[in-house]
Amino acid sequence: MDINDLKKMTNLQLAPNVMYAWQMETIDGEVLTQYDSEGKELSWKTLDVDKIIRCSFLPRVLGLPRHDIMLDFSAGEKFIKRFGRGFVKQDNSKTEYVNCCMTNRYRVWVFSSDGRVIITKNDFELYINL
Amino acid sequence: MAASVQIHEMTGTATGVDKTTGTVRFKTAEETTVDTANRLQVPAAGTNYSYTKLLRFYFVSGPSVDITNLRAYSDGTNTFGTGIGVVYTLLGTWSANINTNISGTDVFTKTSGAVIDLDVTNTGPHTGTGYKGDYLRLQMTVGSTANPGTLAAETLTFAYDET
Repeated sequence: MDINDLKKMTNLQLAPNVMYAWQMETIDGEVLTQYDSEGKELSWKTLDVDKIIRCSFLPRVLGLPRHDIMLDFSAGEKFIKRFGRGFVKQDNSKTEYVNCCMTNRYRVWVFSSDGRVIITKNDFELYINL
Repeated sequence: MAASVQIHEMTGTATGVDKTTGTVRFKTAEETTVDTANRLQVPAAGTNYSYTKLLRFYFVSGPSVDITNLRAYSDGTNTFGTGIGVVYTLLGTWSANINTNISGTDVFTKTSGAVIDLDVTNTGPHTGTGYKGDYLRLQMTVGSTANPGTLAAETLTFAYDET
């Protein structure tokens, strides 16, 4: 059984860009999650980015792994931004959505289709052939 | 709310046909129908040009913050065969489709390592709903060395960054 079987079993056919939710934590202990208790979407830009010490991607469906990126302030690591990169093959035969945590040192790209991760330099632009 | 993004084949300044799940067919007529009418002919000499196709991003629902970096690219391999190509130019505003040579760039030179920037003129960040970014104008060229017959489809990939 793979992740696609699990999705079918649980009938959770979410759009690729909502398979994961981000969560940020500041050094002060403030935690902000993409969706609040009523499902309303929030913006991490309300946080002081210089204080973000953890960026996590939380699965919203079964079978996807959680990912946590801890920033080492003492080593000079800084959170820059989080964004999602959507890919649409023009005949819609395939779509993909990749959540990216961008720091001053590296980027962590998390694929919504299967939860795999790619880590690149912080200026690398990931474009994939679907 | 996470954005819902489509790719439209444009028939006017702000009107188009959703081709996110469909085919864009190059023809000798200016229409969006996917059928075998108005087929491109292999010329005895020189090059025949299809009517151009204008593609553009359409946001059905907008992003929670904004969308940037609208991009497109091919797989880098032209499987249409000898004498057949697809070229592109970028337009900042809508322009009627034409069937004369647009002297564009080979779209198959644009890959995941060298993408087409679709917000050069209509720059982001993009918010809200509706048509966004630049128009990708495509044209098929058919030279005299092309073989007749039905072609298998090629597919472009479109990408965007959502915050």
